[in-house]
Amino acid sequence: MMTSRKLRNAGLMVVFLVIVVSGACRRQVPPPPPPPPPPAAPPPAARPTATLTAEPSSIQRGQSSTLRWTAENATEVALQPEIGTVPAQGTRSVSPAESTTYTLTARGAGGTAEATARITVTAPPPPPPPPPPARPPEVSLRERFEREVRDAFFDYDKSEIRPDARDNLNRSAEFLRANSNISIRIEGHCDERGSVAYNLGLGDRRANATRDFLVSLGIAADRLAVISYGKERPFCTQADESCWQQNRRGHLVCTNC
Amino acid sequence: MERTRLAVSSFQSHLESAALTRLFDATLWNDLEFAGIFETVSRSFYPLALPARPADVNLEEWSSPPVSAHMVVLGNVSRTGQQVAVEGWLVDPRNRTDPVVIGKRYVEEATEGQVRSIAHKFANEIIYRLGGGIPGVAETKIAFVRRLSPRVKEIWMMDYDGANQEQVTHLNSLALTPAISLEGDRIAFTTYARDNPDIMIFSLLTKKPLSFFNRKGLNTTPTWSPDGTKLAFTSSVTGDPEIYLGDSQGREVKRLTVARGVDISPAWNPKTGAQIAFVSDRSGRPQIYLMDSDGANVTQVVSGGTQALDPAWSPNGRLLTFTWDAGGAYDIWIMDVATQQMVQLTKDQGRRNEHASWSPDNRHIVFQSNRSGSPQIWMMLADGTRPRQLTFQGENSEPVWSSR
Repeated sequence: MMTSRKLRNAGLMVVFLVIVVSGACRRQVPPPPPPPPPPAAPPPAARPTATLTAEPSSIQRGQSSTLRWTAENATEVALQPEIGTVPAQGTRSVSPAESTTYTLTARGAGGTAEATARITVTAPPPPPPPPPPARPPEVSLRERFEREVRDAFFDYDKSEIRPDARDNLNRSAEFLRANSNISIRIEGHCDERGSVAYNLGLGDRRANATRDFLVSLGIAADRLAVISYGKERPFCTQADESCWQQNRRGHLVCTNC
Repeated sequence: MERTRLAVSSFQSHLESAALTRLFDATLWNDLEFAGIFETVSRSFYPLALPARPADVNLEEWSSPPVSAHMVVLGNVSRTGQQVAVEGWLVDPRNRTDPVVIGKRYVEEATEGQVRSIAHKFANEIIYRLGGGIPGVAETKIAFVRRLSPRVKEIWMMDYDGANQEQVTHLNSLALTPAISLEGDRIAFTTYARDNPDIMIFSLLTKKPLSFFNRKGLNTTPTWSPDGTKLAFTSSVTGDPEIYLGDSQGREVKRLTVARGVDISPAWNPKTGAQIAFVSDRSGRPQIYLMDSDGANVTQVVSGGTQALDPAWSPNGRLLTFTWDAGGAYDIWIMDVATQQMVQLTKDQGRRNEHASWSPDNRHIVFQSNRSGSPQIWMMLADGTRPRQLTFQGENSEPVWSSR
């Protein structure tokens, strides 16, 4: 499992690099400025310096190493291969497929300085066994729950299941049937209108109406806990109908994902 | 009825007690001003020489225009070491032979709290004497809910004038729907401390929870019987919120309502104990109903508007306040239960005026209003006049007036 995650990370890194590199390639190099008029008495220019390190200097294919550089007295600093113009100081994570020697070139009025660092790339370990068909539950079950499960929304002062709530709960029930180990808590919520007390009662009715509908679709009642939050835990706080509608709901929360 | 014109002279004091005297004067003035039974005469009309004791009172000057006082309150404050002594009198300036109506002397520790308390006690003496023998409310308290963070509300208490705000619960959860027993020794409320809306009873004497048996589902809106031995409350143990009757530990329950929909917010007639007002949406919208305290004779007393909520009895058992949106905004209304005549008490003051609760003297109502821009606790006279803001910080809601 760990190896498959590593592989995925490495894949992400490659994608990231492609984006970075292609971005760098598209960047237009500005035309050189017109040469300045020759100064009357040019001061002696300082000689550029350049340092470059790679940490670690040896990696397995797919892993990355960090290049760290400093250039002084330079007007143009470039890191090759494949990277191009860079600031005078910086770090960059690279993941070369083959052993590569990186060269930092610092050009200035006082001349040119170069520094190199080599990253040795070794062959990766044998490929891991193919990943199991189901994704690891501790990673994805909650994500899938959030994606698949829909809440039931209600009319003002009402706890009847509307047609759209019916559709949402049908979809939620499908997920609950396919994942029979999941338990949920149904939270009844209300908009801000009306008293604290009445909304506690109304939220309880909405939570129970949501539960009863799921039970009617074959979900075992012992998987479904209910709680009313009345108007105490709003999803949004504007005083308008679109916000109120957000707050009038039976909200399904996975308690063991 | 002509209101008593009351002149309330600043109390005389020496330099060492000046700050405490200012606090005393302000507290006493507020108590008498908001008693609702006096016409307090503006101090700008008073004679320049303020009396420290009855012998100093020029009766002629105080009883004639512009003061024209029917009664004069006066006295003095002195401090010796850690003690403060207050002498106060109520004088009838038109009674030349025997003008002193009340004379009182109080000696307490020289703290702000004690000075406030002396002012409240003296105000209550005056209110009792001049207000038809009805005890004043200057020493009563108000419980309310204060939001401490998005997910935390706690029960607080304060003096009836907003002073001495003090946190009662420390449950770090939602505390809602407080109800104080008539003896003032216990407070019942809803808590999410165990991740479910449950009823908790809290002793205000020991500041500790007492036992209460909660059922599956929603347990909320507890209300006390007048004798303090029973509670009516809402439980959704059947899957539908219904009102039940139980003993003070939540046992020996009897179901009172049998209707599909929300039945909640019971309020027990504190005078007769015979009737319970409550909110039900059995008609499709939340409205106010009455039933006998055994659940019989259910009648709807408010209909119309979209929502009628928060029924609360006057202590004399004759009037019912409630929150109603029939006028376009949520406002406090009052109903004479015998005639079912209704009067709107708040109007054009913010979008939400709600959750009224009566003072023990039947003369005041505390309520929640957002007229200042955020939910705060206000009080007013029972005719809707003289609104006065009691809380200013954060969000405060669901006030209930304690009888003690």
